[in-house]
Amino acid sequence: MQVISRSMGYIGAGIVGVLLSSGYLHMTLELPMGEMDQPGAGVFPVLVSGILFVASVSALWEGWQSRRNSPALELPEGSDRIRLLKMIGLLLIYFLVIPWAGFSLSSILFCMLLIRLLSTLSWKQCGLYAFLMTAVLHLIFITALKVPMPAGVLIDFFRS
Amino acid sequence: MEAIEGLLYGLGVAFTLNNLLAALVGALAGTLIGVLPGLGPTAGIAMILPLSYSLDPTSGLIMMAGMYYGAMYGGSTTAILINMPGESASVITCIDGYKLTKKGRAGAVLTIVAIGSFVGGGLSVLGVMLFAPALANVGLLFGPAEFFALTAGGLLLFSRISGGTLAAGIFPMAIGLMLSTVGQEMVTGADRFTFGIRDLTLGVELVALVVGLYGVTEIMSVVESLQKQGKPIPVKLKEMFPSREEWRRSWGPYGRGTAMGFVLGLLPGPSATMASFASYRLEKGVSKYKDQLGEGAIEGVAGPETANNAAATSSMVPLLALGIPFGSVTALMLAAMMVHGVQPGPMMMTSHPEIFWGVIASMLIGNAMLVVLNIPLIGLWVSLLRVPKHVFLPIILLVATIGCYSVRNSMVDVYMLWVVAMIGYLLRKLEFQLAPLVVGVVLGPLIEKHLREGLFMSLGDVSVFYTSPIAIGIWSVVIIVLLLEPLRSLYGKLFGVKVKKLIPESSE
Repeated sequence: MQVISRSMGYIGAGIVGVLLSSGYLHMTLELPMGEMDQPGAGVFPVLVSGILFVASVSALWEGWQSRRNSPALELPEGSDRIRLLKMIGLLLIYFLVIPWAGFSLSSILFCMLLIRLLSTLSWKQCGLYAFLMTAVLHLIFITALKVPMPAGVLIDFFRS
Repeated sequence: MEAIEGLLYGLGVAFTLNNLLAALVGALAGTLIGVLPGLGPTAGIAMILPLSYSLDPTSGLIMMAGMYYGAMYGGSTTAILINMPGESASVITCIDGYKLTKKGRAGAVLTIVAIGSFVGGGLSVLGVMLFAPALANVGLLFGPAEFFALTAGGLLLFSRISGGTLAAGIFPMAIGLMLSTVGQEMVTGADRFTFGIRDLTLGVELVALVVGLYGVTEIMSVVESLQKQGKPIPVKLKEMFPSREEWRRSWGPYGRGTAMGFVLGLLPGPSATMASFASYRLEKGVSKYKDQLGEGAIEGVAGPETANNAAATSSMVPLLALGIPFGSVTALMLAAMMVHGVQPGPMMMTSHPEIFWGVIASMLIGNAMLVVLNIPLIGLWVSLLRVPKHVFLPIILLVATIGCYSVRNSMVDVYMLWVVAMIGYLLRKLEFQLAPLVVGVVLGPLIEKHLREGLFMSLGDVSVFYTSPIAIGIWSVVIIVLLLEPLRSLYGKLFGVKVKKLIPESSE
């Protein structure tokens, strides 16, 4: 398996930073600059793009300098990596589903799948835990503290 | 208002039912956050930030301050009992704390820590009380050029001494500054870098940023190495009393830790973490029992734990007196004050004395609450350590989602939470420091404001930023600190002498 070293990571971050600072500067130049005694909205972002460029070059430089004796990055492998990727994917799907299915339903499903991923509990137990957790948080935040979490397009559709 | 008079006024403010309750809830919630792995004080405070908006500014800040020092205490509990620090300032406590636990002294050590935290926090409050008004008086001499030097120079300094290499600090800082320019511009109202997304007009939401960077990335780290949880040893109330010998050996480290922590808390950087490490080093140098340090000596716990609480308290001085946060927690407090329309700084003592003195006095009360509550409640905290990860991780993620959404009722902030978490995870793996990113986002608008005010008032003369004696003084300190590391390496190359690194590898 290919090992990614810290220096390679720094070089990658530096390249991304240089590209980002160029794109950012390009957009900044479209903003009004004003005069020296009445600076416009674009003055500070120009400075920031310069700082980002210098910082990115310093990351590139440090990565290049340490390329021969740089330690490998501590990235998860095997089942650890799969578990982490599943968790990241679950979280993304959960966030995307909230506006459609609403906070409560999507949270129950998300918790059930996450508990199953992190434990050896049965589906029934996972479902029970997920339901209890969501119910308690619903009571505290939505019922008691009146936080207006999305009810969900589907729920609204069925209600109407 | 004189210092003593101010403190008495502050005690009057803090001793109202609302504020006492806020301090109590903050201290308890902070301890809970510190005990649970997966949430540090920064992410924990970010999550209650929306809740604090519904309180009045004094109560909200008292609650946040309570959470900060509560989390400091809670973090050390896990370090001592299961060799797992709840936050970075408790890393050093693991060395001697866990060894003492294995020797059967867990209860006594936890009491020594609780008293040390109270002593450090309490004495530091007295220092804050005397020092903050003096600093605020100096702050009255500041104009835009001096504030620009303080904010821009302070941010540079903070990024450099946060730990790691030069790029490890300034690269995230630059990203933070870039993110701070997203949204409606303050003077002309022009939209910048919003890409037509209406929810971005108000800028990048700090809660989503901090919870993503510190909370979700920490959960990702816990999930990727899902080790079997260490089972804590049960601690009974009768085991909580330290021996006479342990008390005798703790007073010296308490005093030294308080002084060290108070001074480091006034400086830019991760003061609580730096204070605990510096205090441990100091004990290794001056303690009568320095040979036992590392093998389970009480000095190795009493000193650092006192120091980190003293630093957490004194880090409020630059925030309250100058309006400048020198760390991620104080940056969040600044954000909370701004939401309430309160601008901290030299004028705060006169314009909002109830907040200034109320928060200071509440620290004294909150630290006392921690001692009174935490020693008898230690059994409860220990039992929390037995809660399996598959129970508390989903709960934390759900609370984080609610917290992010509730600030502006916006799903964009929730999506941002995911994006920021991914970026934060990569930055952490590459050993970049995350705190300069957060402080960059908070200080960016202030730096821009002082820059534009300076140029406006000097009719476009740039020399205003480097001609005033105060600005020259601040920039000189910044340049000296920035040059320390290159000079060290040059000295080593020229004379072939190995000099110890002056900046720590990492503070996170």
